[in-house]
Amino acid sequence: MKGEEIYRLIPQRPPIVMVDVLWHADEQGAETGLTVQADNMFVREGLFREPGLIEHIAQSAAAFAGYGTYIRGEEPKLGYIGEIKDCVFHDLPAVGSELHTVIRMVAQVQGISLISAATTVNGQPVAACQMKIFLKE
Amino acid sequence: MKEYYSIVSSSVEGLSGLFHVRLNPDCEVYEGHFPGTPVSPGVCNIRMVLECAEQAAGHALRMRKLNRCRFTTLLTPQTHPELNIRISLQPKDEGVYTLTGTIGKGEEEYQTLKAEVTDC
Repeated sequence: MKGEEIYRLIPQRPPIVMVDVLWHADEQGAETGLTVQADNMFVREGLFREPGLIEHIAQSAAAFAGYGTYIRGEEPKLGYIGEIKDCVFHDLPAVGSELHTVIRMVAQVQGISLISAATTVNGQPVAACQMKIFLKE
Repeated sequence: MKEYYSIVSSSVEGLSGLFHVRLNPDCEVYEGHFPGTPVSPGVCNIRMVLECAEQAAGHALRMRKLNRCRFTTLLTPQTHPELNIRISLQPKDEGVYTLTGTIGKGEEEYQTLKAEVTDC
Protein backbone atom coordinates (compact mmCIF):
# COMPACT_ATOMS: atom_id res chain seq x y z
CA MET A 1 0.00 0.00 0.00
CA LYS A 2 1.22 3.46 -0.88
CA GLY A 3 0.41 7.14 -0.37
CA GLU A 4 -3.14 7.81 0.80
CA GLU A 5 -3.96 4.07 0.81
CA ILE A 6 -1.97 4.09 4.06
CA TYR A 7 -4.90 6.01 5.60
CA ARG A 8 -6.75 2.68 5.74
CA LEU A 9 -4.08 1.47 8.17
CA ILE A 10 -3.23 4.42 10.41
CA PRO A 11 -5.39 6.97 12.25
CA GLN A 12 -2.95 9.89 11.73
CA ARG A 13 -3.62 12.45 9.00
CA PRO A 14 -1.61 15.36 7.53
CA PRO A 15 0.43 17.19 8.60
CA ILE A 16 1.61 14.33 10.81
CA VAL A 17 1.60 11.32 8.48
CA MET A 18 5.07 9.80 8.84
CA VAL A 19 4.64 6.56 6.86
CA ASP A 20 3.93 6.52 3.13
CA VAL A 21 4.36 2.89 2.18
CA LEU A 22 3.73 -0.55 3.65
CA TRP A 23 5.97 -3.01 1.82
CA HIS A 24 5.06 -6.12 3.72
CA ALA A 25 3.18 -7.29 6.80
CA ASP A 26 2.56 -10.62 8.46
CA GLU A 27 1.78 -11.77 11.99
CA GLN A 28 5.31 -11.17 13.27
CA GLY A 29 6.00 -7.76 11.85
CA ALA A 30 6.05 -5.35 8.96
CA GLU A 31 8.26 -3.35 6.62
CA THR A 32 7.41 0.26 5.95
CA GLY A 33 8.88 3.34 4.35
CA LEU A 34 8.86 7.11 4.23
CA THR A 35 10.35 9.51 1.73
CA VAL A 36 11.32 12.66 3.62
CA GLN A 37 9.75 15.69 1.92
CA ALA A 38 11.12 19.21 2.37
CA ASP A 39 7.87 20.38 4.00
CA ASN A 40 7.80 17.55 6.57
CA MET A 41 7.04 19.12 9.97
CA PHE A 42 10.05 17.38 11.56
CA VAL A 43 12.62 18.69 9.04
CA ARG A 44 14.98 21.30 10.41
CA GLU A 45 17.80 22.73 8.32
CA GLY A 46 17.31 20.02 5.71
CA LEU A 47 17.50 17.10 8.14
CA PHE A 48 14.75 14.81 9.40
CA ARG A 49 15.08 15.22 13.15
CA GLU A 50 14.97 12.72 16.03
CA PRO A 51 11.30 13.23 17.02
CA GLY A 52 10.34 12.59 13.38
CA LEU A 53 12.27 9.31 13.36
CA ILE A 54 10.47 8.22 16.53
CA GLU A 55 7.09 9.16 15.06
CA HIS A 56 7.93 7.29 11.84
CA ILE A 57 8.67 4.17 13.89
CA ALA A 58 5.50 4.61 15.99
CA GLN A 59 3.38 4.98 12.85
CA SER A 60 5.12 1.99 11.26
CA ALA A 61 3.93 0.02 14.28
CA ALA A 62 0.47 1.58 13.80
CA ALA A 63 0.48 0.45 10.16
CA PHE A 64 1.45 -3.06 11.28
CA ALA A 65 -1.45 -3.12 13.78
CA GLY A 66 -3.70 -1.46 11.21
CA TYR A 67 -2.97 -4.14 8.64
CA GLY A 68 -4.45 -6.68 11.06
CA THR A 69 -7.62 -4.63 11.57
CA TYR A 70 -7.81 -3.87 7.82
CA ILE A 71 -7.88 -7.52 6.77
CA ARG A 72 -10.62 -8.06 9.37
CA GLY A 73 -12.54 -5.18 7.77
CA GLU A 74 -12.19 -2.84 10.76
CA GLU A 75 -11.13 0.79 11.11
CA PRO A 76 -7.61 1.53 12.44
CA LYS A 77 -7.54 2.05 16.21
CA LEU A 78 -5.97 5.02 17.95
CA GLY A 79 -2.63 4.11 19.45
CA TYR A 80 -0.50 5.93 21.96
CA ILE A 81 3.16 5.53 22.80
CA GLY A 82 3.53 4.39 26.40
CA GLU A 83 7.27 4.00 26.56
CA ILE A 84 10.34 4.31 24.36
CA LYS A 85 13.52 2.49 25.31
CA ASP A 86 17.08 2.24 24.02
CA CYS A 87 16.43 4.42 21.01
CA VAL A 88 19.68 5.04 19.14
CA PHE A 89 20.04 7.68 16.45
CA HIS A 90 22.94 6.86 14.15
CA ASP A 91 22.28 9.55 11.61
CA LEU A 92 19.73 12.19 10.63
CA PRO A 93 18.40 11.58 7.10
CA ALA A 94 18.50 14.46 4.62
CA VAL A 95 15.43 15.66 2.72
CA GLY A 96 14.76 13.22 -0.12
CA SER A 97 16.00 10.19 1.85
CA GLU A 98 13.97 7.00 1.61
CA LEU A 99 13.56 5.46 5.06
CA HIS A 100 13.09 1.73 5.28
CA THR A 101 11.86 0.33 8.59
CA VAL A 102 11.52 -3.20 9.88
CA ILE A 103 9.05 -3.64 12.77
CA ARG A 104 9.05 -6.80 14.84
CA MET A 105 6.35 -7.70 17.34
CA VAL A 106 8.14 -8.74 20.53
CA ALA A 107 5.12 -9.28 22.79
CA GLN A 108 1.46 -8.43 22.94
CA VAL A 109 -0.60 -8.41 26.14
CA GLN A 110 -4.08 -6.96 26.63
CA GLY A 111 -3.95 -4.05 24.21
CA ILE A 112 -0.28 -3.31 24.88
CA SER A 113 2.24 -4.12 22.16
CA LEU A 114 5.97 -4.26 22.64
CA ILE A 115 7.73 -3.76 19.34
CA SER A 116 11.31 -3.40 18.21
CA ALA A 117 12.24 -1.39 15.15
CA ALA A 118 15.23 -0.64 12.96
CA THR A 119 15.33 2.08 10.32
CA THR A 120 17.85 2.26 7.49
CA VAL A 121 18.51 4.51 4.50
CA ASN A 122 20.24 2.81 1.57
CA GLY A 123 21.14 -0.06 3.90
CA GLN A 124 22.85 2.24 6.40
CA PRO A 125 21.46 2.23 9.98
CA VAL A 126 19.64 5.40 10.95
CA ALA A 127 17.71 4.55 14.11
CA ALA A 128 16.67 1.61 16.26
CA CYS A 129 14.44 1.35 19.30
CA GLN A 130 11.96 -0.50 21.43
CA MET A 131 8.51 0.87 22.00
CA LYS A 132 5.48 0.06 24.10
CA ILE A 133 2.23 1.05 22.41
CA PHE A 134 -1.26 1.19 23.86
CA LEU A 135 -4.18 0.60 21.52
CA LYS A 136 -7.45 2.25 22.37
CA GLU A 137 -10.31 -0.27 22.07
CA MET B 1 2.68 25.76 10.48
CA LYS B 2 1.60 27.55 13.65
CA GLU B 3 3.81 27.06 16.68
CA TYR B 4 3.15 23.98 18.81
CA TYR B 5 3.82 25.83 22.06
CA SER B 6 5.15 29.04 23.47
CA ILE B 7 7.41 29.64 26.42
CA VAL B 8 5.61 31.83 28.97
CA SER B 9 8.54 32.13 31.34
CA SER B 10 11.79 30.39 32.07
CA SER B 11 14.58 30.32 34.58
CA VAL B 12 17.92 28.83 33.64
CA GLU B 13 20.76 28.28 36.04
CA GLY B 14 23.89 26.72 34.66
CA LEU B 15 22.79 23.70 32.67
CA SER B 16 19.43 23.31 34.39
CA GLY B 17 16.20 25.07 33.67
CA LEU B 18 12.54 25.34 34.45
CA PHE B 19 10.23 26.37 31.60
CA HIS B 20 6.60 27.28 31.85
CA VAL B 21 5.03 26.59 28.46
CA ARG B 22 1.61 26.98 26.89
CA LEU B 23 0.34 24.51 24.28
CA ASN B 24 -1.24 26.11 21.22
CA PRO B 25 -4.64 24.49 20.48
CA ASP B 26 -4.62 26.10 16.99
CA CYS B 27 -1.50 24.22 15.86
CA GLU B 28 -2.33 22.31 12.65
CA VAL B 29 -0.78 19.13 14.06
CA TYR B 30 -4.11 18.49 15.85
CA GLU B 31 -5.90 18.27 12.49
CA GLY B 32 -4.06 15.02 11.99
CA HIS B 33 -3.43 13.78 15.55
CA PHE B 34 -6.20 12.82 15.51
CA PRO B 35 -9.11 14.10 13.39
CA GLY B 36 -11.80 15.09 15.91
CA THR B 37 -9.69 13.85 18.84
CA PRO B 38 -6.86 16.29 19.53
CA VAL B 39 -4.02 14.63 21.46
CA SER B 40 -0.60 16.21 21.90
CA PRO B 41 1.84 13.93 20.05
CA GLY B 42 4.39 12.41 22.45
CA VAL B 43 7.15 13.15 19.97
CA CYS B 44 6.23 16.85 19.84
CA ASN B 45 6.64 16.87 23.62
CA ILE B 46 10.05 15.24 23.24
CA ARG B 47 10.94 18.01 20.78
CA MET B 48 9.74 20.59 23.30
CA VAL B 49 12.05 19.13 25.98
CA LEU B 50 14.97 19.06 23.53
CA GLU B 51 14.36 22.69 22.54
CA CYS B 52 14.25 23.74 26.21
CA ALA B 53 17.56 21.88 26.69
CA GLU B 54 19.00 23.83 23.74
CA GLN B 55 17.96 27.06 25.46
CA ALA B 56 19.75 25.98 28.64
CA ALA B 57 22.84 24.88 26.71
CA GLY B 58 22.82 28.06 24.67
CA HIS B 59 23.28 26.20 21.39
CA ALA B 60 21.80 23.46 19.20
CA LEU B 61 21.92 19.85 20.41
CA ARG B 62 21.65 16.47 18.75
CA MET B 63 20.00 13.51 20.46
CA ARG B 64 22.25 10.45 20.11
CA LYS B 65 20.34 8.10 22.33
CA LEU B 66 16.97 8.18 24.03
CA ASN B 67 17.62 5.79 26.91
CA ARG B 68 14.09 5.92 28.15
CA CYS B 69 10.97 8.00 27.76
CA ARG B 70 7.77 7.26 29.63
CA PHE B 71 4.38 8.75 28.94
CA THR B 72 2.02 8.37 31.87
CA THR B 73 -0.76 10.81 30.95
CA LEU B 74 -2.37 11.71 27.63
CA LEU B 75 -1.97 15.45 27.17
CA THR B 76 -4.18 17.70 25.09
CA PRO B 77 -4.17 21.50 24.80
CA GLN B 78 -7.67 21.43 26.28
CA THR B 79 -6.98 19.32 29.38
CA HIS B 80 -3.41 20.55 29.94
CA PRO B 81 -3.07 24.02 28.36
CA GLU B 82 -0.07 24.91 30.52
CA LEU B 83 2.84 22.73 31.48
CA ASN B 84 6.10 22.94 33.35
CA ILE B 85 9.23 21.48 31.78
CA ARG B 86 12.20 20.81 34.00
CA ILE B 87 15.46 19.92 32.33
CA SER B 88 18.95 19.16 33.48
CA LEU B 89 22.09 18.60 31.42
CA GLN B 90 24.86 16.68 33.10
CA PRO B 91 28.25 16.90 31.32
CA LYS B 92 29.50 13.40 30.58
CA ASP B 93 32.35 13.92 28.17
CA GLU B 94 33.64 16.69 25.90
CA GLY B 95 30.45 18.00 24.24
CA VAL B 96 28.38 15.07 25.55
CA TYR B 97 25.61 15.44 28.14
CA THR B 98 23.06 13.33 29.92
CA LEU B 99 19.73 15.06 29.56
CA THR B 100 16.93 14.43 31.99
CA GLY B 101 13.63 16.10 31.31
CA THR B 102 10.24 16.07 32.97
CA ILE B 103 6.96 17.48 31.76
CA GLY B 104 4.46 18.05 34.55
CA LYS B 105 2.30 20.48 36.43
CA GLY B 106 2.48 21.06 40.15
CA GLU B 107 3.24 17.74 41.80
CA GLU B 108 2.19 15.69 38.78
CA GLU B 109 4.56 14.20 36.22
CA TYR B 110 3.22 13.37 32.78
CA GLN B 111 6.30 12.51 30.78
CA THR B 112 9.89 11.79 31.80
CA LEU B 113 12.90 11.15 29.64
CA LYS B 114 16.59 10.43 29.88
CA ALA B 115 18.77 10.88 26.82
CA GLU B 116 22.32 11.33 25.65
CA VAL B 117 22.76 14.54 23.70
CA THR B 118 25.78 16.17 22.09
CA ASP B 119 26.77 19.50 20.66
CA CYS B 120 25.90 19.57 16.97
